[in-house]
Amino acid sequence: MKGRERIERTVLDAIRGCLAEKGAPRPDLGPDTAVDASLGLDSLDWAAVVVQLEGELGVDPFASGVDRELRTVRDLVEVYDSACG
Amino acid sequence: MKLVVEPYGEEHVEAVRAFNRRLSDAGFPQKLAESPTPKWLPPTHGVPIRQEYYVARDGADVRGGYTLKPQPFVVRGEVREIADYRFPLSEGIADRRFGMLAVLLLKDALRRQPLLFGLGMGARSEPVARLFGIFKWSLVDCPFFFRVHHPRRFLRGIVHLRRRPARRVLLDVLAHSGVGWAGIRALQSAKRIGGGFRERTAVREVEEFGDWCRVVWRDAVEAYDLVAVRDSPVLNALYPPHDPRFVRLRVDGGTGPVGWAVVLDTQMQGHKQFGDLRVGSIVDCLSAPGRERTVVRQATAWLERRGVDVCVSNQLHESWCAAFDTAGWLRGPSNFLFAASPALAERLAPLASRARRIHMTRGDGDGPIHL
Repeated sequence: MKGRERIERTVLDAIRGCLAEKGAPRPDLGPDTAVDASLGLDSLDWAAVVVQLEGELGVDPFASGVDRELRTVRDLVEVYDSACG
Repeated sequence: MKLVVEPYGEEHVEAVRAFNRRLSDAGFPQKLAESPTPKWLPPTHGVPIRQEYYVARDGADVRGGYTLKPQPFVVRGEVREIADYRFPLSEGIADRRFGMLAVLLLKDALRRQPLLFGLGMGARSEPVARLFGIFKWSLVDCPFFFRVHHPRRFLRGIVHLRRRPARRVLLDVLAHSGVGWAGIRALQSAKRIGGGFRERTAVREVEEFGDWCRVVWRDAVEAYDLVAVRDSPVLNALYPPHDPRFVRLRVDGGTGPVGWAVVLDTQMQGHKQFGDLRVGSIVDCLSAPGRERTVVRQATAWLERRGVDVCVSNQLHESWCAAFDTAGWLRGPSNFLFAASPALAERLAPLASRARRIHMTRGDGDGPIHL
């Protein structure tokens, strides 16, 4: 699996896992899903997702500041993809 | 949403006001300061402790912010600047579009200063403490100490213990029968070790911290694995001489100063825990090693002579905890936490065992708010 595909799957799995823990699974989750109120994750949920992604991908893209918009899951994948180099 | 976290400047004031209005309209009382210059601890030339405000800007809008309070600490013998991470506030509490912002604020603070800590927070269940926990910060409870001077008034007025009707009745019976008075006095007396002071010591109120406190600092510093620099420039910035709330007590032994304490004597009014009690608090303190109990007993006696109903304090270092324990203070449930960022915890590793050699008081955090 290519690097970007692996990152996308990892991001989607982390979000799905968090939603499942909250009892709100989203089978239709995809790259175009907006990371806004409709997703149903609060600040602490996002913190858990970020920590999981740091652990699984081995990078912390937020450590040096993120200078891009985060509207969709795809944007989040881009951030991690850029950090992974 | 393209968020940029940057130092708070005059150009952000209008956007901060709009942010505060949005939170207020959504039912949240929290606010960001509507001035970029802090009233308490503004950056001042020659003073090594300050507050710095940061805001998260989303185009022309402000969506949140946080405060850093950098100050010099001695970490295992080395002077380092460490910052208190304070009052993070995100529009995510009212609008989940900004749910990621709390993460970005904390990450931004860590980028500016990896050696961060948080203090207070209320409880492990509070969002900030949980956020720290998720990011693998180390959390340590700072024990809470109290000493009742007027048991009857305490039993009749302590809101925190009187929330349940049955307990209210019990506390009233204890207060009126004298059993409560006797019980509290007995408990406190049993914990008090030793009679009078072993040597002549004296306590006096001083208007500011002078050069004398350098002697105390020099003698004390080696006893701690983590302690904020407590010399006169820092102390006079933390407890400004013109602020009438702070009482600075200097404690002298036979050969000069052996310690000091900063105390408050506050008449509460409708306080959520203390009701209308008069509360004395030992906010901050330092002494030469082995003189902690002298300072605690002198400060306690000073507050009790002023007529407080109850004295309170939070402490972490083992010598200070022992001093309060043996000076007739009781321990209560603590809602005061010390949280160390991973980088700070690494410098203190193993934190679990070193935590008791960390000196943290209410003076190291938000200051004496709520007291």
